Amino acid sequence: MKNSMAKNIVILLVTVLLSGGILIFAESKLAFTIKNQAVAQDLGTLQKFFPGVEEFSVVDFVDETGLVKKVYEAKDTGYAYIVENQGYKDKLVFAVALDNEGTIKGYEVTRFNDTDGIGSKIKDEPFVNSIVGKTSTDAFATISGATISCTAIIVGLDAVKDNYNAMKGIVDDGTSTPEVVVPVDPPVELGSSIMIFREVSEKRQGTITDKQIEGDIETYTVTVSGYAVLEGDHGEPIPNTVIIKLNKQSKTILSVEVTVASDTKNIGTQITNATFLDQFKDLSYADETVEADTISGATVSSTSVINAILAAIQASK
Amino acid sequence: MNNYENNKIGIFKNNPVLGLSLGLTTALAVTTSLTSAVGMGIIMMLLLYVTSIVCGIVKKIVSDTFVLPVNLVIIAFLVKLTELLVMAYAPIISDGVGIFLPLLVSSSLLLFGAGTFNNEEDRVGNLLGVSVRSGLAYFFAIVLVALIREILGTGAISFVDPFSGIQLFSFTFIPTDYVLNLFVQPAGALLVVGLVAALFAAIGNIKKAAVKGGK
Repeated sequence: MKNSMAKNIVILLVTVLLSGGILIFAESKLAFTIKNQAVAQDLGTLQKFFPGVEEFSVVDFVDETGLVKKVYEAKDTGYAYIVENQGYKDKLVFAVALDNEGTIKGYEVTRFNDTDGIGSKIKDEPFVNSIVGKTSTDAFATISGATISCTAIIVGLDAVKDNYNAMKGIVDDGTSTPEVVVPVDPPVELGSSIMIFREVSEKRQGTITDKQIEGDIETYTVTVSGYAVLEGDHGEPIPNTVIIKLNKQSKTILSVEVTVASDTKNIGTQITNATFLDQFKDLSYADETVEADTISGATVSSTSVINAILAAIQASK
Repeated sequence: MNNYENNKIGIFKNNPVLGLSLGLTTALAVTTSLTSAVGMGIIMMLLLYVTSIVCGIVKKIVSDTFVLPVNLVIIAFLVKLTELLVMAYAPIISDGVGIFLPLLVSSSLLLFGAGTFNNEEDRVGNLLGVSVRSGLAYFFAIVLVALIREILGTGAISFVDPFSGIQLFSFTFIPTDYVLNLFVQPAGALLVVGLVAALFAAIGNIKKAAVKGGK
């Protein structure tokens, strides 16, 4: 029995020592390959941030937030961080680079599955420009309408700043005020044309809620049913509101402004876009065959604006 | 394993993941993408085969009371070695499965494949047979769960070459507006695993009934 016990203990010890020895050997042989693989995965991004730099190395780091996944050092140039945080729908991954003076040299979203047109604003120029060029002590602002995705990025950036400042001994007093980021409206694609003067069903007609006259200039405030009202898009739909300025004498539309766009966000709300509204500027309605373009993908909403214009023209006659 | 033939591991009947809840943690965690699931499936299959051979041999020279500690050391060694190799040569898989690769050290499925829970004097061949079936059943189960989760959760299915990181294929099935984010989250994993387990059990019962009817 004693012999058996001793034999078993020896086998266990041999197993432990043999396993440990092989693992130490394997780790020493594979360590270089593993580090190179880590760099290779992000090499494209790193070279974009630090053009001309050929030597990148993995930096060991401590991040209490758990958001910073990798830190690289670009030899004698700066540092790049790979950060992951939960976005609106899925995890967002982005890379950010700082030079040795603490200036942010680059920012790029490498994994994005949030909503196009909303969350995707974190990849657009205004937001990128609000980050690149700033320093490790600056604060960052979210973009209205993309708060969740922006917050995920900003929280990640804060983790990067903390890590970088701790590494470089920089003190962030937290007094920096974030710069307001103004998003750029996505381009509107105009679709088919419809006649302004045409038969419009009662539920689609505009209702004049206000009228102001200054000489030949007449300003009408019109409420009109858009997609939200006609298709019951929301729980308590409200109509769109359009302000139309007409020159009664010359029979021209001076301006059209949408003050309330209550249709589907980023689709129906495109009726506020200047590309669509500018087509009405100085448009003559003396000829009743005059046409206007609708917005591709937002036909009901854009037609509602044209219906509001028709109501204003008819009211001015 | 008492009455071995009645408890035989299969894809539908006694599936180690879906029927016996062995290796369930990884099935829930790594099935957010097909690439990770295939990677983990292959890793688990290979580990099961090697574990069953090595532990099967060791079992012949170690008394029963020492089988568990020796098996744990062997499994820990094989898992760590696999982790190093995966990190070195398949970083995409390493990133995809994350902490769940080193956590295989405590995988109940590997202990099962090593014959730790079997008091009978099994031959290495028997252990290997169980491991081959368990590995295939595990692979099939997690790949199916990953397919369902990725399609419902992202609307598309894609596969990335684990060695080069190049996307080999990608198909979109559901427009982005109609995908259910729930399925890429842990709750979705539990839901899909539960539903697939129920489906497999039903198929297993139908097959069992058909065999009985045939007799």
